Amino acid sequence: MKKIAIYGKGGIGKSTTAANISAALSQQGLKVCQIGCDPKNDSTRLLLGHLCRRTVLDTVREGKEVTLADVVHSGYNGIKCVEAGGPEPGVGCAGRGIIVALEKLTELQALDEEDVLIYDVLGDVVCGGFAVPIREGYATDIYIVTSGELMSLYAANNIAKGVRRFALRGKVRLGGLIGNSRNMPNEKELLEAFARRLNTRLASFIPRAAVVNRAENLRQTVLQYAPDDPQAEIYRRLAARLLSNEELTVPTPLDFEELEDLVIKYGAAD
Amino acid sequence: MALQTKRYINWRNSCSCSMTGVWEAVAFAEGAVLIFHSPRACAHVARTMELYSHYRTLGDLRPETLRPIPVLSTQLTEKHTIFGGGEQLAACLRYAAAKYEPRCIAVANSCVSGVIGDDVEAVGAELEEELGLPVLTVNCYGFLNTEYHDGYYAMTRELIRRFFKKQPKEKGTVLLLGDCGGPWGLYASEVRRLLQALGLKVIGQFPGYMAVDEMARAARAEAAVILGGRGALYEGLRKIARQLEQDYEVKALGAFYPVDLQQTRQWLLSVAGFFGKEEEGRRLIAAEEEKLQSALNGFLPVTKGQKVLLCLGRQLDYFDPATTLELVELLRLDLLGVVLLDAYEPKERQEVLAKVQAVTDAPIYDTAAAEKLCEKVRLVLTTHELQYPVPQLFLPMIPEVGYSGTLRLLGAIYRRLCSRKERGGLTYV
Ligand SMILES: Nc1ncnc2c1ncn2[C@@H]1O[C@H](COP(=O)(O)OP(=O)(O)O)[C@@H](O)[C@H]1O
Ligand SMILES: [Mg+2]
Repeated sequence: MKKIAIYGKGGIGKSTTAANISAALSQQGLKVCQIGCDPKNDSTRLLLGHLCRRTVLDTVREGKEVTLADVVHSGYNGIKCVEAGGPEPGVGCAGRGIIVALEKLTELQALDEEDVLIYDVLGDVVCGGFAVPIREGYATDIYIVTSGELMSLYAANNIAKGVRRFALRGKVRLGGLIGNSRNMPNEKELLEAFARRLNTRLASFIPRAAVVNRAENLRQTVLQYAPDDPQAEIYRRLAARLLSNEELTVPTPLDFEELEDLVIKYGAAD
Repeated sequence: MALQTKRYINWRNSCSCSMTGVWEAVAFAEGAVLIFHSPRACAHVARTMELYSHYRTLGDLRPETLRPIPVLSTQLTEKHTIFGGGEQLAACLRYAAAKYEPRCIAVANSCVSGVIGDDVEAVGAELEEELGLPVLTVNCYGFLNTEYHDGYYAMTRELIRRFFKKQPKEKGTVLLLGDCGGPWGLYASEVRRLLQALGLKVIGQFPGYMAVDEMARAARAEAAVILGGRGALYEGLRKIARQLEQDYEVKALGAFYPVDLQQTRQWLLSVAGFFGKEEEGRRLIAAEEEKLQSALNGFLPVTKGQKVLLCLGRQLDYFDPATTLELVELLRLDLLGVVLLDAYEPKERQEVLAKVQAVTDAPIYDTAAAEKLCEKVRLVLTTHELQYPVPQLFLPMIPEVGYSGTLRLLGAIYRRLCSRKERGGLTYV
């Protein structure tokens, strides 16, 4: 079983990318499960065609015995869709929620028969809860979605720090960066240089494309909405890469000044 | 017999829970209900404390006349750690209001509600409106950055803010401020006895032991007497006394405490002075000291010249060596030396040393010397239990107060010296 986690700054495109990867893998005939670990609950929206109606933590809140059928929903092409769920903004502790939700899934043995698990995790690893997918051996291959913008790189670098900490004592490794373009000058070169500095590689550079948004408006992935579009092919290649990737590394994060210098260097080369 | 040397552990920062302090501030405040906004298990802290106080009052042979207020727990579970405990607290407040029809509800917060960031203050304000009933909250969460006494002082301030009213004074009245073992304890009893002997009226002990309805009349007291001791622990109490003075014109009496003979004298004179009863004060002191002297006359034939050792390891915040050395002096004991136990850190050891040397010429020793010295004495006065087979008298944690307290300790030492052929064992006073 391949256990992948997708991290990255909020709004950078984690869920969109994860859903397209899941769709691509399922089209190859693999049994895929995508697990949203974000109290926003929208990770699997493009696969389900709607917002997830029942999250793992909904069942905890109701205080009922949880069954598999309650929390594992079937989405596009038979992809299993799970949302951890979480509290309303401003109350409770979403991080604790992630911990409990993942424990519940383990208890249910919900994910034992899949070929691929994809965790889609809130990017800024604000507390220990959001590090659990890296920490407890849930996912072993970590990918970080980032654009060339400084704050996105900053978040990516922080996530790399987290991965490094846990990589030094366990099986978790960094699989690579997934560039999601914001159409900045020299963005791809910058991301490649950043990846080298992190001791990893740029697994894919995904162009910013209107078809992504058109598909999203119909609550679909590009793979479902426009399978022949070049953008779909990009997601398919990325998915294949994730499956076969053997270059899993312990990252070497930068300090903030180095990161700034890198951004200035490539921005100035414009 | 080979004896292993016991190491003394000294907890510099006591890790205590502020919830119990909040509880203590309202423990017997008739009309109040307390909610522990906490997992169920936290409520056991209160259970244990209640049991201790029960034993203490049993030990003091004082009848308890007040009833402890109901204590509830919101029983936070995993679910609340994720989704927040606010609704649960609201439900518990409604339940408490309906079941007990209290005059106010106090809320003590646990670490859990602090970690997940429950907005307890907002819930309190909302429910106060809904229930038409004061809901008192404090900004302390379990042991997160707060200690027991933070909770105690925070809730005390809140009680004053909510219930105290500025008003004309009733002549010759005193409010006792603080706890020190409660109204049945030896401290408050002795203070009350001395105040009454001066012809003053004690209108109550606040917080903790005053009914909610009485608090509105508490500021009729002319003065507040602080029940306290040395050290930072009581600084909060002094602050509260100053606040009462400023905002409610209740004069704070208690720059020092009646914890040894000299200070008791001073204390009585200053209290008597404030109420214009200097003459009564002097007469009382004379009468009390005469009683003490006649008791001493009975003790001295036994105690005079008896060899004793003093072993000290307690922090100065809780203990003043001079008080014990005064007893040694009064009983004319032969002090073989003073052992400073390992419990002190270097800086505090210096301070203790200075204090001891200011009042006695007896030689000073380290822990290592204690065992040998113990063999040479009839009795060891000690702040720590020693593992040597020698009679020991454990110096009490709460300072002995006034004449009764001093007499009690003198009597205990005397009785211990009366018994013969003793091999060892520890006496608690
Ligand atoms: N390659 C892309 N081209 C165009 N729009 C994109 C692309 N990737 C993501 N988006 C859009 O960005 C927004 C945020 O994406 P989302 O996947 O929800 O981010 P995250 O899960 O990281 O918070 C969505 O509206 C999505 O359609
Ligand atoms: Mg998302």
